[in-house]
Amino acid sequence: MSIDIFLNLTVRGLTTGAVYALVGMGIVLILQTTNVMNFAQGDTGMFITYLAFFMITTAKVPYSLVLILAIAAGAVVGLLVERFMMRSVRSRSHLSLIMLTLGLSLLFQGLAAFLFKTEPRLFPPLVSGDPIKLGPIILGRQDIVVLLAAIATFGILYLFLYRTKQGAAARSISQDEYAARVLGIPTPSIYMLVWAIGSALAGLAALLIVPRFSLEPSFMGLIQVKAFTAIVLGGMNSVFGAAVGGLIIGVVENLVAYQFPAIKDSFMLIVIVIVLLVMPQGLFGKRQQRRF
Amino acid sequence: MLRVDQVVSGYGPIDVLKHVTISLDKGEIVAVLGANGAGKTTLLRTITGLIRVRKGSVTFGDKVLNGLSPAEVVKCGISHVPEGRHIFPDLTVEDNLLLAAYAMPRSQQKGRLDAMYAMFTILAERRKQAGGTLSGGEQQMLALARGLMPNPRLMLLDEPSLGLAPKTIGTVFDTLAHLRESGVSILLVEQNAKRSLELADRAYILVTGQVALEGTARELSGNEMVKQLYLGGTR
Repeated sequence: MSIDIFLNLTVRGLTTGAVYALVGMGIVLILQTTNVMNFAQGDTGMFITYLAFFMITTAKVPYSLVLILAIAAGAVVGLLVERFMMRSVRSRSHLSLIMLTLGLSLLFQGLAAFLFKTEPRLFPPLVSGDPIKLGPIILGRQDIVVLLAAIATFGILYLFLYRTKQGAAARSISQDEYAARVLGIPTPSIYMLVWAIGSALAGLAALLIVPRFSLEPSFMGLIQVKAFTAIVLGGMNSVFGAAVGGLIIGVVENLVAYQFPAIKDSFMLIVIVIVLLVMPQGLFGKRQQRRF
Repeated sequence: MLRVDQVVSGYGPIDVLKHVTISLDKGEIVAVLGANGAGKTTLLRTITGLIRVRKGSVTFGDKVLNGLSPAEVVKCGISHVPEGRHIFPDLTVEDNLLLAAYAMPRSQQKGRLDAMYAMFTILAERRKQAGGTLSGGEQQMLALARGLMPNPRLMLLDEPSLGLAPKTIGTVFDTLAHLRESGVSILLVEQNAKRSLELADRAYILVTGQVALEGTARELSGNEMVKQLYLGGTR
């Protein structure tokens, strides 16, 4: 492998990793605050991408407006899911909550297949034009957008979690939900807010990456598995870990795929197993420690 | 000021409190004593809205608290310091305090924060430290300060001396006495019956979810049964 190829694989891996990071950060945000692994994260994004597709192709809405509408639609979906699905089940059974998100994922896939048909559609990229050359590295314009979006999202999430009182409340709930309720933190509205942000991220992520694939009801499936891998590697309980984990997975996957194309996807599942065995707390995760 | 009237509440199919009636006047410290499982913590949780009132009513001033969420109860002027302190271990002391005054405007939060640091100087020194790194006694001070942050008229305290060294227990009770001076009413649930009765004006004794005995702290301290059961008295 020449150095040029290596560099290109790495940078292109970073842009793929940014996608995993975007999906992963949304999952971690919801997981940490509400203690629910959202298996519908990917398919929420898929469904919103279909809505965006028809806004662009049929209704001829300008792309930038569609992007904003897609983020807003994601937030609304998140609000509704929390308010009308999660909330009533939360006090009854935790396992049911996780099953609900699985069901939601299937619901979105079925609905998309029913409403929009399963044949793949080509989704136009946000920015088109010739690839950009940086020395020996060749990068697609959309890839750069994805990378920048991931960085911006990380920044916004960081500011939300560490600079706003709602963010502090979300962190407090993740550490001790009972204490948060006792202190009078309105936990239901924080849950709604976090679901809204997480699902808005799902919409943004799916919209940014769909041009690289084609739009069909199952296109987010494998990406979500990779995002889970990123979260496990990053340590489950840190948005930062999900971001870095996503980037690492993207690069490693790309390098492995170049040498051994056949094991590209299964390799990541092996990584999950190894990480869980050797360092279950991941790269940036904290082991739970509490002192009373 | 606080009236718990014929309240029934509990978990799942079980009623823990069975028609409990207690009251508390402004400026009073009232202790609730009883064995494990008697329903003391359930009583506090019911007042705060963490558990639903099944029958009866809880009123504070002229406000009915039945059905309010914990966040709304805090806004009415009642704070709850839970058993086991429940400090957020990875948040700083300052964030722990600020979250306790979640509904308060930022400008007022600052004033309350300064008041807390003046009252608990150890917390001022540790303000940027993670809550989980504090010692047990410091965590209890932080828990008390969190209870005071929203500037409550009534504080519910659940086992504030549990698991603390005797010297620290002394500090906790001194703080409570000091709070009474400043006009905060306190409903105190404690294992340490002797110290509670020394501090409290009045007390209730709960036995299996019912008020078995009530009276002034002095009356109860002199009661033979109370001596036997709760004060470790000898014949």
